[in-house]
Order: sequence, then structure tokens, then C-alpha cells
Amino acid sequence: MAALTRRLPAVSAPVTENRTARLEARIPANLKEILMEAAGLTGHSSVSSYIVQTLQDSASRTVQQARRTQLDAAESAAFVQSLLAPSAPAPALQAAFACYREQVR
Amino acid sequence: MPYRFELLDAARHNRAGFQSAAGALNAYLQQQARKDADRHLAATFVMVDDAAPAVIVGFYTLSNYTVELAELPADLARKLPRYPRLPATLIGRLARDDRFPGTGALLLVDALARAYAQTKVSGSLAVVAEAKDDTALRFYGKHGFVQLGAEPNRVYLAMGTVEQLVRSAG
Repeated sequence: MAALTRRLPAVSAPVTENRTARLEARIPANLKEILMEAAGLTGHSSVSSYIVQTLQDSASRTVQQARRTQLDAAESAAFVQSLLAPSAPAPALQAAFACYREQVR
Repeated sequence: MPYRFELLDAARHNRAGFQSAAGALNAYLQQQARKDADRHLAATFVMVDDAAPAVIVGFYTLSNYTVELAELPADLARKLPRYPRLPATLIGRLARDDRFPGTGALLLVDALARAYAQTKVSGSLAVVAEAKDDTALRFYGKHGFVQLGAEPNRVYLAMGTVEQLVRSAG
């Protein structure tokens, strides 16, 4: 098992690290100035590296949020109660199910 | 008629001909759906008419979803084997072609039935849906979905409700 785990990165890493793609976008001139300033303030050596880092963080967050929901304490309790005592199907859903059984094979 | 459901197959289904009211959903079906399937991110199911099986009447996508809970009272938490991260099924997208009014509910029922069937091999406690606009929100609300957490466009139906529906078939 340990040997397999060690081998995995060697097989997959070069592919993900070496491949790059190009992305171009036209932006307002004043935005570019802001980006240059922000890159300097955050210690990035280039606007490019600042953009890549920021976009990557933002995109990962967006993708993660699309796959999960975080509930607070009250929402969690309500959600769990609704799972433990599920309501009966709504009349419209029952009607849709009847149509489904007629029209879909 | 009758209709049937199939996994999206670019070789057999005419994706370019699909016209729903939502341009973003048309574009998803035409450009992204197959890539998401290849990367195992989401599966796309299409509804076709037996008489014209290349025509996509409607489609929906399913993927895995996680509902993360805050701390619960111990008696409640004990009843949940996978607490605090509960597995669910996401209907990420669902759309019908404009020329086939009334078929949206058939898409929804198939998505629910498929999500329920899937619980036999992979746990799922609820079906979550992403409503793109108010029309979609009303559609899900009418069929019993309620809001999930703080996100007004994210709604869910307990799998126990789906189970009652599927089992009501005599």
C-alpha cells in the first residue's frame, strides 16, 4: 500500500504541472492599473502571477460552493428534523408521478 | 410518446437542436455536459421520444453533493451515521425544450427516481436542486422542495419523501 501511494505522484504530477493553457481577456485600462497596484501590495513579482493566484483561489471556492452547503445550527436542526420525519409528497409531485407512469417507459 | 430517458450520448442525440428558454442551459448541454461526464463531475440524462430518439426533449444533470452541518444536540446527531457531512444528490441543471411544454415535471420525477435508486449503492439523504431563476424556484416549490440553508436559490426534498413517492406506485 505504501509503495503504491509513493508511486502515484510520480505518474500523475508531470502531466498536471507541465501542461499550460493560454487565457486572454480585454479589460478596462484603469482595471489594469489597479491590478498592478494590488500585485505590488501582495508581494507578487508580476501582475500575471497575482492574477493566476487570485483566479485560482476564487475559482476553487466557486467550484467547492457549488458542491456543498454549510448550514448553521438552527438550519442544521431543521434540516435533520425534516430528514427524520419526511413530509408526504406534494400533490403536484404525485400528479407528476402519475403522468410519468403513463408517458415514460 | 412514449418517452424514455438515456445517458447523454453525443453520437446519437442532437444537442445543437435543443432550444430551451435559458441560453446558459442550451450552452451547457452543447458545450460542457460531455466534458463534465468525462471528468466524472456530473452525469447528464436526456429525455427522448421513442418515435424520434435523436431529439432531446429535455435534460437534467445529477452529481454528488454534501450538506455540512453545524454542531447538533447529541440525541439528534446520534441518529445520523454520516454526521456532520451528509451525502446528498444535486440536480444541477434541468431544462426542457420550448416546443415540449409540460415535460419539466417528467424530467423532475425521473431525476428523483434515479436519485432514489442510486441510494442502494451510494448514500444520499436528500435531493438538492439549484434554481436558476424565480420560475425555476416556483417549479421546485410547487413540487414540495424547500429552501436549503441561507441560499434562496438552493432547495431540497428529503429522500424519505422521494421514497414515499416511488413506493406509492401500485
